[in-house]
Amino acid sequence: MPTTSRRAVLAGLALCLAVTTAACSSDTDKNASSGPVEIEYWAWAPAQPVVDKFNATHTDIKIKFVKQADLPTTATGLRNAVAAGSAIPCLVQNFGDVPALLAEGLLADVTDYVKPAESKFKPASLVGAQVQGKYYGIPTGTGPTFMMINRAVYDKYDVPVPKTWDDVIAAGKALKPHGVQVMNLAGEDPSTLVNLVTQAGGTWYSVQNDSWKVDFLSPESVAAANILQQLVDNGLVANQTYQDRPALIAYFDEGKMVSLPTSTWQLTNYELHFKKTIGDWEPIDLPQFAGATKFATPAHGNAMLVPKGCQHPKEASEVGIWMNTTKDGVDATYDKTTGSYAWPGAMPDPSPWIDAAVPQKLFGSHRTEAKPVIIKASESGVDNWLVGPNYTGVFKELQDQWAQAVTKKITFRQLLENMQKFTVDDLKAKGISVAN
Amino acid sequence: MSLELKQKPLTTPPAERAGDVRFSGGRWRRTVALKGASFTMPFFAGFVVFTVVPVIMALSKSLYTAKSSGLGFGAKTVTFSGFENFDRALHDAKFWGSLWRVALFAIVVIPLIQFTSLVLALLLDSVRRRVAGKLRIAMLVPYMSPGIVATLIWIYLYSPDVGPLTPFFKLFGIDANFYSSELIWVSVGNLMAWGSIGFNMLIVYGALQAVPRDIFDSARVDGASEWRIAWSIKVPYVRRSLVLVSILGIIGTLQIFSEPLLFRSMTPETVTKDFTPIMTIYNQAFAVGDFNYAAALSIVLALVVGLVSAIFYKLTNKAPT
Repeated sequence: MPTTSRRAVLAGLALCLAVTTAACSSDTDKNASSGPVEIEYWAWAPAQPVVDKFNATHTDIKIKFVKQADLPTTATGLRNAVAAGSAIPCLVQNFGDVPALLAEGLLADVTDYVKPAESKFKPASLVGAQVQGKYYGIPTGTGPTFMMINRAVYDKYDVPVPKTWDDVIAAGKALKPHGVQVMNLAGEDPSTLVNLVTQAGGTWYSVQNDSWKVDFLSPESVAAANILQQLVDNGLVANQTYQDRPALIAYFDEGKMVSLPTSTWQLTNYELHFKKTIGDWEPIDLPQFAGATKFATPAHGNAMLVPKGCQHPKEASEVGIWMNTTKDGVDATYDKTTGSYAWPGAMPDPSPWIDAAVPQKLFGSHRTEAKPVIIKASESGVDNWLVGPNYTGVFKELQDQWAQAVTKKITFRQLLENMQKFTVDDLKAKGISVAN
Repeated sequence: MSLELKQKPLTTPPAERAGDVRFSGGRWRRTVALKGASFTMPFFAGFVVFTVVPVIMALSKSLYTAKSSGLGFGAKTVTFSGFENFDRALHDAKFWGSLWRVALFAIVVIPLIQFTSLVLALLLDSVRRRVAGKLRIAMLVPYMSPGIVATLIWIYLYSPDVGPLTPFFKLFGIDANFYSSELIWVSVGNLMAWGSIGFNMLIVYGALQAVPRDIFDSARVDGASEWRIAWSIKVPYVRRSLVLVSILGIIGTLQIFSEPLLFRSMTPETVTKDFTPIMTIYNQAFAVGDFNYAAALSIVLALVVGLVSAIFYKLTNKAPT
């Protein structure tokens, strides 16, 4: 073999190595010079109009919007960026509970910047962005929870509109002989349980003397479990998955499932896709626990995230506060195709945006009832819900347990007992103090 | 002859040359060998960066444990814990449960896939070459579509609400729910077979093409039927290829991940988060956030897969061909 070919091989190898090294050494060093501070914002929601509005009205801060594919890729991307310690964004759309993300080491303390602005937020929205009294994100609040029922079917079988969860069970029993299910409990989504516990004013985690107290068997949880158990045992619910959207919408639209706990952000989807039952639905107050003294809806708030390692937490907080608490910020979320805005969950008074949130045809002659129902739901939100540092893993386990409970393989009581054990064991295995 | 050869030293076998035979011959061989080996460098560079380095990193990670303290919000302390993670892995009922579940599935599905591939390859071998070429491409199409795409296609086909299969089976009075716990492995197995039979068949068919044709002629002269030729000549000839595709099948099946993960979105009641070993590992790493334990589980899984493949190879590859 002549020497030239050996040289060619070596040159090729050298080139290969050079290319690989070059790919790894593209460190950036932006924002070092003067001029407006650039805030990188990651979201999978269509946030470009909001970003444009902000950039048009501000000179000292500019947002650079980086559109993300979806929730899981945003989460993975942020975890990688924080672990690498470079190219960390300064604002990220929420993808989990603040305490769990903080325990993962993903969040920055922004108390100094958010606390002075507390008065701009709806008071109930603040807790969701806090851990132990400190802020690790910008409060975004949450949408109002109410129920929509297929009134035409309720009337057809002469079933009264439910006011309590016991009424829902009774309605389910009355509708079952007609082949109609009163509710849907998707096998992958334990949020119905979480929402019931929250509505009852309960929580699974609390802090006692610098230790976690885990209580899946509190009276609130047991009351919630009892309602679900009756719905499942009597065969009153469907288990349609939320993952197969076309199938789900088609099923809801058949008139075979007639009550849906819902929120404003879901309405336009139903409006666009319901064909047969459009106009038959009625918004009603969320059913209450029998004997509850005060009307309550679950309102566990959340936060826009400021990641650890963000170079400009002050400016990032300013941007986040503008997005969530100013008229300009909310107005810019206007969506032409649906004619609605992103729900202003952190605004003390959301009423200017309610009309646009109610679709034109979905509720038919009941449309006027929507506004008072939404206002009532928004004002009566309770949030005692607190999650612990291991909630991401706990939620996955809860999904598995929930799937078994809705398919009658275990009871909801057993679900709570299993979760109690799992959560305590998991906290202990991680070296975290548990009071139990 | 030897004189003539001495005039071309580069191509002369070293033993033929005078003087320091050992040294110069060794060097010559080594140079040629190195030149040849250098062509594998791009592969080995990738192998080192994407396989060897991660394995070493996983090994080192698996020996440590990250612990929080207090309420769990502070920084974690990472301490050397020796084989603690492995001890935990050996007693992890969910992990071993998932491994047995997949092993049982593999025992059923791999022989079925290999048998079907063999039959198809034999059929292909018995038709004319031009026809075989066309059929071969058709059978390879499923293999060409990426696993995720294939799974998405089948998720739609299986969907009891919008898919065509459920109404089709209803025509015959069969109430088939492909996502029920009874049928879920059949559904996954069918998807795997659909995706892999084309490739396996191609390997086996390739081996069949290499069988000297005159053996068939002499067999025919001796009065052997086509069945007899297939069973007594063709099958023994392709044994090594069958062993190869079976080992690839074992490795792939024990590490099955994307198919059940996507099925989980449709039927979380059946496909739990710990359904297969890799799903358990994935959950530990990315939901629980315990990379150290996930690394230990990965190593245990790799050892099990390696062991099973080695045993299978020993058992099936001893007969001479």
